[in-house]
Amino acid sequence: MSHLDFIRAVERAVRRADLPVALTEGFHPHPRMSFSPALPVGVESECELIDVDLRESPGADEVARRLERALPPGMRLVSCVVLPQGGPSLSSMIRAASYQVDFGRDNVAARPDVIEAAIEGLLQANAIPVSRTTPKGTREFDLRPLIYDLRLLRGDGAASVRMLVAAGPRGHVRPDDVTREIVRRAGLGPGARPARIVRKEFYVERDGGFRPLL
Amino acid sequence: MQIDSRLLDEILEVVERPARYVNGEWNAVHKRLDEVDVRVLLAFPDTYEVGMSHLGLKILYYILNQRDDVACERTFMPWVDMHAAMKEKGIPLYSLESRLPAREFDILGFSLQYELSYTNVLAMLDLAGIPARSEARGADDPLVIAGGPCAYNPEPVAPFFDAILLGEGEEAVGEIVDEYKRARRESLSRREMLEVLARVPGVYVPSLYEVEYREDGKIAGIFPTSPAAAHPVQKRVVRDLGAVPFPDNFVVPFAEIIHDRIMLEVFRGCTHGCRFCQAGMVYRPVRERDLDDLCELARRLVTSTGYEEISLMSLSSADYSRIRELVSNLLQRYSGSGVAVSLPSLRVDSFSVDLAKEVEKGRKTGLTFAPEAGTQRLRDVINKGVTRDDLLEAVRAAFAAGWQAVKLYFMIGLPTETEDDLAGIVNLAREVLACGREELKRGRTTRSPQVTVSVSSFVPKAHTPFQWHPQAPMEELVAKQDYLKRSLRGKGLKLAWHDVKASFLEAVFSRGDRRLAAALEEAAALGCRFDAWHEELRFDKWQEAFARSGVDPKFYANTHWNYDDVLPWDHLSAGVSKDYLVAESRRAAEGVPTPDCRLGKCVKCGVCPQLKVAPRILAGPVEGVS
Repeated sequence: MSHLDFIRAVERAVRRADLPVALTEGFHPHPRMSFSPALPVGVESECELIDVDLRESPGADEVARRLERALPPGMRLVSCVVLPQGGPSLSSMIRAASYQVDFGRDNVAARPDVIEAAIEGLLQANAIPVSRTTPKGTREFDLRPLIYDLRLLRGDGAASVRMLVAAGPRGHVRPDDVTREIVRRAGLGPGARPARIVRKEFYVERDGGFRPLL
Repeated sequence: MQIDSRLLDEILEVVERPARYVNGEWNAVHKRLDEVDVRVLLAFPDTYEVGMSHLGLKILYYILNQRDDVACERTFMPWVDMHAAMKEKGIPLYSLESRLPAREFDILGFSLQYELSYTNVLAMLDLAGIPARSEARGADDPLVIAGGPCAYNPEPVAPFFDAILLGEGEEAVGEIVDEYKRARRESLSRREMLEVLARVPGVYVPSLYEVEYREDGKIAGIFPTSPAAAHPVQKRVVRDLGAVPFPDNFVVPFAEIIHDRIMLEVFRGCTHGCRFCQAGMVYRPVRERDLDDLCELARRLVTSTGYEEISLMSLSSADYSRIRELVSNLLQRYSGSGVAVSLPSLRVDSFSVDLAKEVEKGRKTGLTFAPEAGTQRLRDVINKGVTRDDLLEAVRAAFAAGWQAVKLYFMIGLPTETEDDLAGIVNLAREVLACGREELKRGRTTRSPQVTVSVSSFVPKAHTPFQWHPQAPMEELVAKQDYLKRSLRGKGLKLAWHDVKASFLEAVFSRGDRRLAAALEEAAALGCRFDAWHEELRFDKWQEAFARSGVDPKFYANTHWNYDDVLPWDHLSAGVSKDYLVAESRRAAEGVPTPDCRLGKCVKCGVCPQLKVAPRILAGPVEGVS
């Protein structure tokens, strides 16, 4: 599902939930909502943040109750809090995100030791130049300072990686930027892809460190 | 048994738009298939995005799933990449809801919306592992049935279907399911079951008729071979739309579909009587829904779907006799909650522009009008009751209201068309453009008007006054398009046109008979599918298919037929009498228009007495039931 599909699905769920949503100005009034950074197609998520601007508050429990009934299969409400009027939006507070990458049992070349060596090499590099192509053009940037943590998870034989990377308005890393670099350094060939990538959590910066937002 | 989900998930990672092939949409119905008596699979022979935009599918899905003894699921034609991947991995056609192979359903119901989807029907049957021909199916195969506008001349695909429903399905689907259950309970043979079904009014069982041909290729006669087979089969029509269910919830897809909004059908049928228009003939009589019912349906649909737009559907929604009340009621109720209202079809008049102005508010993307022909003479021939003044008044109102782009629909190759009529298209387009310049200047805007002329090629359709008329040869249509391309150049003018090859194939199959089934099988074997998709149409393969099967496509598309010829669809009745069609055809030749029956005078088309129905127009009585 694309980010646009996701936004549309949530907007419709909010309308079905019959919440007193504030609308945007203009000829096409939309529900006033803001979303956490787009999830790349093919990546799963356990954490998506949505700010919904309400005209009046029926209370967090009531909002949650109505929304739960209106969400399509595959989407689950994790938590719902009422924020004070005029505060910053959740999405503007985001500084980092964590992802889990599973290479899967079928990916026989991606042995844990091979992946671990690739991670070590990556973390020791002074700079990792990568380029990203957007509709606006191709942009070069250094990935290294945007990776805050990267480690191999000890599991049952198949390699899994956990990463904490920059996210939000001040700098944003996509998980595939990092996995592509791991795949390259592990010598797995350009076609090798992880079986599964999951966004786990968003983080804010507080007391000199990253803290889970929820 | 479900299909191999692991295998499916693997290919879903590599195909375009995988959301087309997985379920999990809001409002999709999941039943335990082992707890129902009859499992029905609705099959749409085009992509998910096209099929999910079709109102008929939503209506039947809703009605069938309301029954406790039935589970109804959906399947669509997989796009080219998915089709190839499924063939390669051995994944059969399956239902979205339960991932159950199509051949494990009891009834497989195809929607036949346009002739160019016929090869997709064959591709889907092939993917399902179900024999293409009805005669080759056995007791273990599902009953393969069809419905939709192509049912009014289904002859080219008749050998592929066990039964075909003519007309509206709301009431008939339930009867078909009941008769199917009874036949199975009584352990009837397949042939006996088909005879039982043939006794359901509106159900046509092609295998119960024999067609004989003359030496010149025309049809000598069509003969029922069973006492169960009606001659003619009479279409089904719902007398009171308010008395049959209309869905109060729609499946809401994740992926964006073509008509991604609430479709609210305001009425069925049309009274204008355009002589080329099959929908205008076969959906008679006009039946409006109650205003209160529509408002209540809109309310329930907004709540159950969360959609942000309500589209008022019909063949010509401005005709709804209480359209102003309906529009203002909906706008009043929903404009505060971000739900818009839209009107997909406009008449050529300023009343329609006023309505559009009311619903479109600021988002003036473009208005479309369909004068259909370039001169008054030809518009009288086709009975399009629109004058040059109507058009100019309508576009003037549109430009004055702030629209800047106008699209005009025309047909080329209409019966009796001359060079003057083509020049008339060019002149009208230029007049509209000049009118736009004037109005926009008056409005003191710096924007300049845009006029897009869209031309399609006339396709003769069964059960219309032009059914005897040939389509112009392809070379002639190309020459006419070239003339328009040369003449409609310059700032503010744009021309869009349809591929004449596709129009030719459409004409072949719209007037086709059973001998074309072999050509369809050849074409499908040669890899033809998605013929309605310009980039997928393989005309060279089609020519090869016609040659291999020994049928001459021009006999169907380009030959003039006589009033006393037996037509391939003469055993099927849409309620409109042949006498009326002949009379209309003669009036066309003389350029005499026929007034709208809404205005009070019955045009004697035969539908009301034949089907024992009456037009239903909320405001003002309509005569015409004799």
